[in-house]
Amino acid sequence: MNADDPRGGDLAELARLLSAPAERELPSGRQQVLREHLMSELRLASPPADKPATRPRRKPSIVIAAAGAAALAAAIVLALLPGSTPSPSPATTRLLAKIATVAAGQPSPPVRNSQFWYIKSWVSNLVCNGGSGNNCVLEKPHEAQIWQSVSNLCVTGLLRDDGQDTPLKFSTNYLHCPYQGGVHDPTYRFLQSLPTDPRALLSLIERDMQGQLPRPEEAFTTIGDLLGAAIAPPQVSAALYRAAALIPGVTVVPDAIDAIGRHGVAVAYTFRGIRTEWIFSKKTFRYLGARDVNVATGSSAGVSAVMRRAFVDHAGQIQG
Amino acid sequence: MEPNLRARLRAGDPDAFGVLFDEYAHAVYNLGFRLSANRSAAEEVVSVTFLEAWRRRSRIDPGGEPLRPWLLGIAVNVSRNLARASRRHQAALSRLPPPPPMPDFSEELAGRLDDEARLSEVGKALGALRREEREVIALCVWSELDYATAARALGVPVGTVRSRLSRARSKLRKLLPAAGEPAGGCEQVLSNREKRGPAETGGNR
Repeated sequence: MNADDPRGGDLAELARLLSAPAERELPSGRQQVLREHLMSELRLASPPADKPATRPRRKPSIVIAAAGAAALAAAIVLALLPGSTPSPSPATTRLLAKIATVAAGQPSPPVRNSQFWYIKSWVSNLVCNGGSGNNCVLEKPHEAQIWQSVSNLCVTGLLRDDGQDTPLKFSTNYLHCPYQGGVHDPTYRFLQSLPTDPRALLSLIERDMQGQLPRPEEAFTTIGDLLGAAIAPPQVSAALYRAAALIPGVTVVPDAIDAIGRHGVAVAYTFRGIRTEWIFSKKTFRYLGARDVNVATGSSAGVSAVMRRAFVDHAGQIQG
Repeated sequence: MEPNLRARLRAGDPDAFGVLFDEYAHAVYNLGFRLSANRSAAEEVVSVTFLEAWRRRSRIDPGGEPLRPWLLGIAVNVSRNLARASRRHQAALSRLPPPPPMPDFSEELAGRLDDEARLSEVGKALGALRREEREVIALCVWSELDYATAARALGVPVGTVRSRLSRARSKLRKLLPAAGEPAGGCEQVLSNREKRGPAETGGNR
């Protein structure tokens, strides 16, 4: 430890109290295995060096685009994946179409760049102390409120999680400010810039999955994050639902329960034993919340309920 | 070399990520091991962290901060919820060869079990802390980032890092009163350290 470190007494005492566990090398051979794995994944994901802008493997889906949604979904599978997953059933497509129509009809107030979006939820996450899958417990549901700039992630936002405030500050050292975000960390202005054609939108989301092949489960996860933890303009929300209807393997669950006990109908995707559900009111078809269910045990692996979404002038300002 | 490397990373050159991996896989593995006390989880943290770095490569600023704290910040986020972070990379992880069974009886193995016992002892005390406090300990105490760098890596103000460390210290004082005296706990530590040999100095880049 740096003996002459000017960082003060806390560090020195903590180092003494805890004593750094041993530095360790990756077990022999594993570093090389992990490296080779990374390199092969990145090569899979890289566009050919001579034609960085074109993505040949995506072309078939564009050619077939006119053949209709169901055929397109199948075509994407055939074009991108070696395996085959069923296209969403007509019932799933109908439900998502209904949900999209309702979303498109929501009001769209004018939003100023200086404003913040405000999202209040009840959440209960699976908290794991150490490693994947071991030592995991579902925490008690608690209120989470978030304020985030609608136009620039370099502006500090606020998370009020179970009453405790944490400033949300992206490190400006890694960003070009102002930064409107991207598919994985969107602002409202970014979402406004998205295409409202579902096929174009899905294609854009898949393109943004840098680092992996476009996979249905990743598209579903990304869209789910946008639905539950963001505010999108009505036409973009609608397009997100219509894009979800193009993802092979998406199904309907007739009854699901959100974090505050509201029952609804769910759009779901199952992957590796976890069924992720987006839950909607059976009456209004509006988004209620989301839930991860362990298919084998039926137990919940995380659940949320969105209570309020609004635009406000200041971080910390509560509306409704 | 770094500015050129950054440009190549930003442009999505896989070989540049290979260089990044060679340089920092060790530091990421150690951080993952310290936060999880579990070897296979730590390996998964390494894989997911570098895949996440690739996904976020467009944010690498050619003239920005050093890459090590940036990677360690990603690794903390990955460790925080490995299950969720891995979901994005499930397809890639499914292609990762599983770790081999434990090696045969050897001094190396004995050393490892020793480390794990030590970690589990420390882990009990750490378990009494909030997750945020454990993370600043991992970054500041064990990975030896300074307050400002740790704050940037975690995306929180410097004052928050400082106050989390202070809270952690006062909690641990109560939990580990004996180890608070420089002579007591430290001898134990030193005897563990001697086994480690040169690896100790190799970790701090």
